[in-house]
Amino acid sequence: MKIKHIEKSRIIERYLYSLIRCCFKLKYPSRLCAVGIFVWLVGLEMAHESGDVWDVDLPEMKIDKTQIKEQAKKYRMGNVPLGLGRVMNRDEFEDYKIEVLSRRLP
Amino acid sequence: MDDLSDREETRLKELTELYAKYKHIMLYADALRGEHFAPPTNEMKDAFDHLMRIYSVKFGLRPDQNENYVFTNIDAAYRHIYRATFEWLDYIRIVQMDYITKKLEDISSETLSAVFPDYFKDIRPEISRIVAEIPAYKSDKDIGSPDIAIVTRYFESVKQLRFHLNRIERNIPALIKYEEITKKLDGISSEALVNIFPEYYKEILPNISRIVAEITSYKVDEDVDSSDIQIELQYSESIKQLESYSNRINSMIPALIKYEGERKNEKRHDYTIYAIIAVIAALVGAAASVIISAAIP
Repeated sequence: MKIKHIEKSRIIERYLYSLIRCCFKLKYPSRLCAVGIFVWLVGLEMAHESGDVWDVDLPEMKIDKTQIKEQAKKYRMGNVPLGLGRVMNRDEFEDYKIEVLSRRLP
Repeated sequence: MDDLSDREETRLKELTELYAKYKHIMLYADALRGEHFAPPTNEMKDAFDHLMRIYSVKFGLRPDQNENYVFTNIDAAYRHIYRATFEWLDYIRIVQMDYITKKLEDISSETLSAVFPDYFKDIRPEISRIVAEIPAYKSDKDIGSPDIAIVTRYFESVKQLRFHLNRIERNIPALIKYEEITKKLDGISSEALVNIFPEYYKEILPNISRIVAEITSYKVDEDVDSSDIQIELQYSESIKQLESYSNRINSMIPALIKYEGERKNEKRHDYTIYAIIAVIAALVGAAASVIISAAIP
């Protein structure tokens, strides 16, 4: 899939940038290598720009309540229910639905 | 809208109408339990993505798309909003059901039929009907042919449930007070009430019946956001009266329980006397039969 390809190339880029930093710390031939890698990376960036991501469907939202609570504290989230981790995902809703529908009205 | 074809414009108009419904439903649902429900947000994210794909073509970022591209994406956005609306409606229905069952779980059927006869007459059957309709709506939620009429029908059912919920909510204080009164007098005989607490039959019971009749006569407006201040005052006055009678009954409970205890002891004493008389009668009978049998040769 196109999106997987892009994710992979982003990871490669990250490694390459670290490599450039290492190369620049060394002497002349390594620096030349670094410039070469840099040029390659610019090419990669340009490939991303021209790649058509418009028709790629967005990934589904993943909710981690513990993470939400931690980040709410860290970033001082304004939304109080969300900050308290009061989020219901589909699985939780299905369980809740079964429980409510099993109750009998008086 | 000059850039859009008739077909695209019509679908976009439908999408806007559907979104108006969605927003109304979402704002109501969001306030119900004070929590975030994730599935509709996921659908909305996808709907937004499809709209952006349309803009990418309209603003010339991708001029080489085929002529169906814009319509296909408007339609896809419509379907996502349609699904999001259904997610919310389903959520609302379940939260409302949860609320109703929890509110009424400690109220007896006797209290409900005395104070709130409409519950058994029309509310309970209506709630059961709406719940039974769920599978039908679920099967109608065919994304192959999304129909705004189905959303409207489902929305009306949920609104109806909201109205009933409001009626139940309205009667809860009266139901709780009445339940308290009947529980307090549980196990107290009418004889004890007549002898120790004569005002109960003379004054309190007729007044409680009158107040209950008043409470059941107050009509709740279909539009739950509007309320008549006069009716609200009358209603709170009725609840206050019910509370004062409840307190009066409460103050008499120790005397009534004492009387009931004494009456039970008296009864036990009575039974002992009857038992002794029966034994004596049996002995006398036996002696008489012995004497008669000895006298007759």
